[in-house]
Order: sequence, then C-alpha cells, then structure tokens
Amino acid sequence: MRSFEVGLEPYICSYCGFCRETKSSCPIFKETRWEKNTARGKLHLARALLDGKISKKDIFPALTEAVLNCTLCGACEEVCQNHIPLVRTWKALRGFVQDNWPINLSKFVESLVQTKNIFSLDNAEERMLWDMDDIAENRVNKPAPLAYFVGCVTSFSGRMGHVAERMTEVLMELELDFTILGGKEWCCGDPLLLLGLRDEAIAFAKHNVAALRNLGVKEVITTCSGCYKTLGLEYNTLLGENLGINVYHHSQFLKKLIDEKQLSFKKSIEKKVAFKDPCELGRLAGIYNAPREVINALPGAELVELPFNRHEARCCGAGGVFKVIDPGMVMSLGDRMAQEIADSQAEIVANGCPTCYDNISLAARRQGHNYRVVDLIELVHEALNL
Amino acid sequence: MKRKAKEALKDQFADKIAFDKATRMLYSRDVGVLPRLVSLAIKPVPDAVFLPRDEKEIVDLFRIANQYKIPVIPRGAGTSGYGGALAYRGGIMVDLTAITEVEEISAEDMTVTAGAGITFSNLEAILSSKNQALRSYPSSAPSATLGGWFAQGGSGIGDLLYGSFRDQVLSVRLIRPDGEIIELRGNAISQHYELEGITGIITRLSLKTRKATPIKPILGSFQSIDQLMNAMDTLLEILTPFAINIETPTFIRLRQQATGEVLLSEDNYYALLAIEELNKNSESVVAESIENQGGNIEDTEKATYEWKERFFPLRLKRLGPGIILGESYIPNDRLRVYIEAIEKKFRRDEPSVEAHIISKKEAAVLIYFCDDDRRLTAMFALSKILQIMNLATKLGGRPYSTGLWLSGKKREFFGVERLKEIKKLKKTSDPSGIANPGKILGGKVRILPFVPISMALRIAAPFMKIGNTIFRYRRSKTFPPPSRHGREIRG
Repeated sequence: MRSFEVGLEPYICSYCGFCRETKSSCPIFKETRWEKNTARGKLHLARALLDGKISKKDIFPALTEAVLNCTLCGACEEVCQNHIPLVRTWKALRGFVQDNWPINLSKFVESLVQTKNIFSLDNAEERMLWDMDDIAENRVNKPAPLAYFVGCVTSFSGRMGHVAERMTEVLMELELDFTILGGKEWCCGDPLLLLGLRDEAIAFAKHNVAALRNLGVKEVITTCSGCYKTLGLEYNTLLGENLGINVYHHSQFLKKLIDEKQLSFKKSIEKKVAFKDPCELGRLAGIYNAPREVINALPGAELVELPFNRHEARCCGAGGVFKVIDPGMVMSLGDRMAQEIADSQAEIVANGCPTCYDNISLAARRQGHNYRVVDLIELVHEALNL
Repeated sequence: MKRKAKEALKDQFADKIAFDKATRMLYSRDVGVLPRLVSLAIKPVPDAVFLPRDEKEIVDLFRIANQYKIPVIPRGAGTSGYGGALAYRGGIMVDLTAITEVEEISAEDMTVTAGAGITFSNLEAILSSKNQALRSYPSSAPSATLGGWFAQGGSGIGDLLYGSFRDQVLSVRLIRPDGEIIELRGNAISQHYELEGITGIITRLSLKTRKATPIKPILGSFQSIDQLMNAMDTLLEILTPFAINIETPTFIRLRQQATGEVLLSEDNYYALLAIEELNKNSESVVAESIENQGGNIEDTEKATYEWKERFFPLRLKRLGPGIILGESYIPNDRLRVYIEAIEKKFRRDEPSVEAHIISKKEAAVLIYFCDDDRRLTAMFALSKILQIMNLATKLGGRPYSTGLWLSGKKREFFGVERLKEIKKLKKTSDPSGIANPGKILGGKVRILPFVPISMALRIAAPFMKIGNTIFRYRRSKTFPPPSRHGREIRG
C-alpha cells in the first residue's frame, strides 16, 4: 500500500460546504448530488480513515470512487475558505487507493508507461500521424532553440491533428527556427501526476527534458494546457532543478508575438468570440489574460465572456483522466457545457486545450448547436489568411 | 433497520437511496465535530441516506417510514452545529439539496418561490438577473439552503434592515409525516418555524425580495469596544443599515494569521456597516457617528475586503486545526459588557468574537476558539460553549438555537407558551414520532434511556469545565503550514 501523504488537510476542513455549490460548481456533484462527491465529503472520508473510525473494507471502495469521480478541475479549491490544497490532496489520495482502482484505469496506466502515450499507440511510428501533409517533416529532431511540444491528444486523437498543423504553419510563416520531437516526444506525464503516480511521472519528465536539451531547446510552446502546466510548472519541482527552459502556452506565445508586432493580420473574423478557460490553464496555472488579449487583437473579433469564466469557469468534464474513469459522465458534462455556450452570446468558442476542445465540439455536434468550436490558433491562422 | 424495510426502500427508490457504511458515515456530523463519547448518547450514523428529487418521493418515503416506524431526518447542507440535522437513533437521512427548482420570480410582487434545497447564493445569483435580491441570508449563504435556515432558525445578514428570515417568508410547503402536503401561510408559518423538521419536511418556500440596490460597505475602526458601541448607538437612532458586523482585535489577528493577508491593525475593534442606497446624507451621518466617538473610517479597499469576508469566519479553523463555536443573542445595551467579560474570562484561550447587530434591540454574538479536535481531551473544551451561554443568560441574553444538544434550553428559547403549542403540534402532526425525533423536545441518552440528554449535559458540565482547565488547549505558534491565499495570476 502506498503512503498516505495528505497530512492535516482533512482536519483543516471547516465543513462549511462551500465546495458543494460553487459558482463554477463541482461538475461531478452537480451531476450526482451525493455528499461523497464533494470536497468536504472526500476529506471526511479521508479523516475517517485516519481516525480509524470506519473499517478499511468499508472505506476503500467509497474513497476510491470519490477521489476518482473527479475531473481535478480545482473548482473546490478555488472556493475553499480554509485554503486547503485540494487538487494536490485528490492526486495524493488517488495514488493512495491505487490498489483499488478499476481494472481499466490500471491498464491505462500500464499501457501509458509502456507505450509513452495515452492512446497505447506506437509512439515512435505514430506520433507524427497528425502531419498528413508532411508540413513538419523537416522539423522533426532538428536542433533549434524553440520546440513545439505537440502533446498526446493533438498528436494521436485524429480529431485534433489540425491544431498542430495550424500551429506549425503559423510558426513556419513567421520563419521561426523551431523543432518538433516527433517519436522522441513522450507523454508529458500529466495523467500520471493526476493519478498520484509521481515517481512514474519523473521518468517521463527526465526523458522529455533530455530530448529537448539534446536539440539545444531553450523555449517550448504547447497547445495543450495540461502539457503547459506539467512542463512549465511541475517539471522543475519533479526533477529538483531549474531546467532553464521557458515554457509557453501558445496563447502566451501568440500574445508575445502580437506585442512584438510580429503578426500582421490580414483577414477579419467579424464574430463574437468567447474563450473557454481550461481548468489546467486558468485555475491551476493562473493564465487568464493572454488568450483574451489574443482574441482582442484579431481584426473584427469581439471578445465576449461565457457566463462562468476565468477562475469561475465551468469544467468541460473531460479532465483529470476522467475520460478513462467514466466516459459516460464525461459526455453528459460535455453536453451541459455545450448548452451553456449555446445560451451565451458566443458565435465562436475558442479553446486552449485539446481535451476541452474535443469534448465540447463532440457535445455541440450531438446537440446540434451551430456555434463554431475552434482552438485559438485556428483563429490566428485564419486572421493571418494562411 | 429491518430487512423488509430495507428491501421496500430499495424497491421504491433504487439508486436514490444508499445503505453503504461510508455514505451513511458522511451524514453523521454537521459543522460541529462530535467527540467519540457522543455515541453513548445518540446513534448519529443513519441507517440510510435518501436523495429525493421531488415531493412525491418524499411522500413515498413517509409511507414506508410510517409502515416500519423508521425515523426520518431532513437535512440541508448540514452547516449548523446544533445537531438538528443529525440522526438520533439511526433512521433515514433525507438530503434535500437536490430540490432546487426556482418556480417563480414575480417582479410585480417582489417575491420568489423556490425549492427548499437551493442555496442562498445560487438563489441570489438567479435573482440578480431579474434585478432583485434577497432581503437577508445567513453567513453560510454559499452552501446553506432555504429549507435548512427555516428549520434551524438563526440570524443573518440583512436582518437589521428587513427583520429575521421568518419575516421574509410568505408561504411554506410542508409534507407532514402522514404524507399530506400542506401550504403554510401567516401564523401557521410561525408555528413551524425553527422546528428542525419535527413536524414534517419543508419542500418549497416563497420569500419577499428587495430591489437589487447595491450595498455599500463602510468600515470603522475604534480603540475600544466602548467607543464602537457608542458610535453604533448614535447611528442606530438615525439610520438603519442593511447589516452591522463587529469584530474584535483577536478575531482580526487570528484571521489574518490564518489567511496570511494582513490588511487591518490588530489592535482595533472594527464595525463593518453595510448600507443600502447610500447617499451623501447617510454617508455623512455614518462618518459623524464614527468620528465623533474617536473612530476612523478605513479606506474603501479594506471595507470591501471585509464585506467579502462576511461569509468566511471559519477561516480561523486552519490555526487549530479545529474550532469551537459558541453563539448567543445579547441585548445591544449589554453587548459591550458581554464582549469585555468574554475577553477577560477566556483571555488565555484567544476568544475571537464577531457580533452581528440584528435589530435595534439585539445582537447575535459568535465566539470562536481554536482547538484541535484530534486531542482526546478536546471534548472538555466544549464546556466553553456552556459557559458562554450561561454568561449570556446572566446578561439578559438568550440561546441561539436548540437542535439536539441544546434541547435543554427550549424553554428559554421558545418561551413556555410557544413550547406548549409546539408539543401540541408535534402530537397532532406526527403521532408516531418518526419526524426527526430527539430534537427540540429533547432526547434521551442512548445507554441510559431514562436520562434526558439535557440532564446528562448539565451533570457533565462542571466536570467538563474542570477538564478544560486541566487539559487546556495551547495553540502551536509554528502551526499551521503557510496558507495559500488565492492563486498567482501569471498572465
């Protein structure tokens, strides 16, 4: 059994229950309404375990279900009046109950560790499948100061490959000296961290850092908020050193290019555009302004806000490895999100995370909504008229 | 619970009812942490937890509960600490927080009708889109439910200007234990108010609302509680703010320590005044009242911060990591004496005092003590609650609530006449006694079923007081780990 590293958090909880009905609202509690799916309930279960108030036989199934039924969106942490680092606690508890995980989740991790990507595909052979037109062929493994870290969902999902294409085309248009790791890119390790498997994630971090250093990379761009958070905010801590590599979410990088007047837009968007704050970019990494500033810089685009935005943004439902844990609920949470967008003024909803993008676009299609779902880079690409 | 009853419940409600130990355990506490010895007095773990989505399901539940004589305990968000939403001898816990539908918002009558399980904050957000707002709400508004506050009672923010929550309620829908659904109006509402659901389950309420006029917070700081109270006395003769909240230096010091955010001087007493429709005239009245008593008006940033903090008095818990809370109503003219007495009597225990002036006559005083409920001897510290209440009574105050633990205070709380009415009402509406037994009218100790809980507490009180002196809690100066207040916005 793994060690229990949640410390005092279960005792600090004041039981106020503000985590039940926050503005951004715990997506799982909203759907299930059971106390065990609230942060308060999970901490209470952990406390009962620490106090020996209830037998392990009785507590483990409930605790496992409670900590896995979570998208790790951080909505609970945002409103916790006792400032408990809840997301960190859920990750630790997920690792703690690893022996009780459902078989599909254990297999997922086993396969991720083996294949180095979340789709169980041949990493070396298929990582570049998104590049159907070979636009990035001569960029793979090319020594360069800048790297585009594509990420698993964009590389393999088949539905998000165009995001990598658009990003690559913009970088090429700007004649930037950049590289792509191709088959040498491994999963960033975020799913492992989200499951409390820190040691396993360290191996992934070591590999990716070595691959980047081999090519002389000093700056990295990602189009995935999970990759951004992991490479940019977690790797230094995981590896215990300052890696000296600047990591940008593409919204930050695009904003930098706009500030430096390197982007000259030629086409007008003429639509109301909302940015869907990804949980891992907003609440968990503190990036809210950069994507909005990019939208504001697009000719004709009118920035509008979704009813719940920035630190109060609603989770799309697909984060926290929840797609592996409960794909059915991910769909219904996606439907809820898609409806919320439909009820807003937005004609285009721009994303900064392929997981949100995928879940929202599928839900919007299922429900027949006619707003456009895109990644931020698609709008930039369009405005550049490439 | 009998096997047949369990089967009947399972057949009727399928996945809306849970019997597993972990889920039941989650509903065995409220905001107060129960010492282990409590299991000698009550059985707080329910036999089942039921999550109804509509009234019909509650009617069905009462049918089965009556058939098998099973207690039914209604519960909102469990944010009170008096045990009103706890099981007393097991039974079925009914979590009403899924009944949240807003049925009607009338712009003409300025009223709203909503499910008992909706939270005050969620309802306020919905009302604000119609340019309306709640007249009063509890400081636990982000999670507290309409039904919960009606059943539990207590004071809140806005009471000073608009009266208690009872005054806001126009009608209540109640499912009696015999399954009959009744609509309460007028005096009938008062009869069922603050009864913890011992006469049935509340499913819907209609409330008066106010125009969503902005509330302007003003923060006054004073060197003594005397100055502060003099200023408030003068002010209240001329103006009635939406709310007045008083905080002592210890409250400010500990909260700032818990959050790591230091905005206010830790030597002052503070009065936060929330004023509806502030105009130049009222602003100058407030300024004069404060400054004439030697007080200072703090800047807008600090006032706004304090106003936002009105929902978060439990931040102090981080320092314990436990907290003990005692509450009482005190006449306004005795408030300064009471606060001084508390500060003197418990000076070694760092009493953090917060007082809400809820009417021109009375204030609700909340006193927080940091503690560590992991200590085996933490139960002795609960004697502070009784000591606080006794002191309040001596000064003409009254208990804040009854619930389960303070059912011994029912006469002081309700008065003799109202208590007679309650007993009569309970007898007629719940002859089999399945609706939230043990609450208000008093329960018996589980292992000594001839001893009322109130009597057991009375007997235990002096021993607890001695225990509290011997095993006094000393807050570690190195605890807690640094707080993470808010997130860094990177861009």
